[in-house]
Amino acid sequence: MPMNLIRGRRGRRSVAAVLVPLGLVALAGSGCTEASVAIPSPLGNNRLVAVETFVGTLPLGATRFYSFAVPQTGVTSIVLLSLRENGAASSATVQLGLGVPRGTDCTTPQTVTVGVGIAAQIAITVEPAIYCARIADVGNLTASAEFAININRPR
Amino acid sequence: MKPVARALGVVLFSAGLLGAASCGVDLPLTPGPPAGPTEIALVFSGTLPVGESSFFSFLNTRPQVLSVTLASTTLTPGGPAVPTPASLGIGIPSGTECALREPPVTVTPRLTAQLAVPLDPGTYCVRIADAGSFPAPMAFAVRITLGHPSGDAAPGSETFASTLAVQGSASRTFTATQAGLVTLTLQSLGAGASAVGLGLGIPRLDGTGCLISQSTVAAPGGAPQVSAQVAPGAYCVAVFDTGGLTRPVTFSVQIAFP
Repeated sequence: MPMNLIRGRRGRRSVAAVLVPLGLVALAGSGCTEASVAIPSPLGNNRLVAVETFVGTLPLGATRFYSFAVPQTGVTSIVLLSLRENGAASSATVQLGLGVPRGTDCTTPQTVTVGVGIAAQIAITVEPAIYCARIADVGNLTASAEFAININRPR
Repeated sequence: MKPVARALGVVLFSAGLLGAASCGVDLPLTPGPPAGPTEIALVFSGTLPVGESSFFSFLNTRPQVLSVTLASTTLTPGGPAVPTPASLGIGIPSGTECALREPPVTVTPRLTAQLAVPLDPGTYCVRIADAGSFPAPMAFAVRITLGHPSGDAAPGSETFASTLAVQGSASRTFTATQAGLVTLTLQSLGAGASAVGLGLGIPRLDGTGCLISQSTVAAPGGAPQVSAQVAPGAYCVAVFDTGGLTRPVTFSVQIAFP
């Protein structure tokens, strides 16, 4: 699998990479979106990244996933931007994963159980291929939840 | 994609070895052996609600031909064949769907490929959808084959003899090593039964039975009751009680395969 784990920290240097797309998402409203932004990289050069937003409804005990193409090697990260149960913001945690589409699911070598955040919750250096972001209720939801996940990937 | 869909995978190697894999990662994540008589086959099975679609993703590790076969539609998983057209397409996983490369085709279940395309290495998906003809939720089975089998074995035949329980079923797997005609002949039934269900399909890869493509209610005789053209691959025969048994009966089925 063309996927290499980078440092497990919660993406301190990626805050900019998340905050900028966050604004884009707010503008975009519902639905899946893609945008390009120049992100200051740790190497000092600005590298174009694409931002895709995966929005949907997660029933109790269910999983959902979203596939996307990465055209060049680089860091791909995901963050759970919002989670709402019964129309209100939820503090529940759900499982997020980044992996590859296989069979009828998304196979995720790395997962985290997290609540809503603004910084990258999974960040992995990947080679060009098709990947997927996956969200799953691991028993913490009390009702179907509407969610939004931001996916930052090399463009 | 619908949560009801269930997928099974298997890797078939040219020597006829059969290895099962579970849902999820179904294919080697590293390139296989050099081009040669190696085939990788997967089975995508599940139940599709009326008007819905489902897809199955897989990794292709080298340039080779992809063949897709809608092999079975039934009203219940493992039940008698109810040949029903469905829409079939090949694409790339994108967003929450399988983005088709070309318009889908509407096909009826059979045991030879309905779609065949050359593929470069990459991740792809096969999508099945109700083409508007599902009378009810339908169980389906789609065979996804990458590469070509060896085809270096001879045609053959074998006898499947066992005992069928009341309300039960029995199945047996065999391998066709080249394209051609498969015939099934119910040769004998034990006392107390005049007819049973006889079906031909592709095997469930967890070893729990047969996904039936064609079936009939057969009485013992000397002529084949079921026949079908097949592509090389693994197939199965199923014998099942259609409701007429009052006690277990023995049976014997002659299987002739290419």
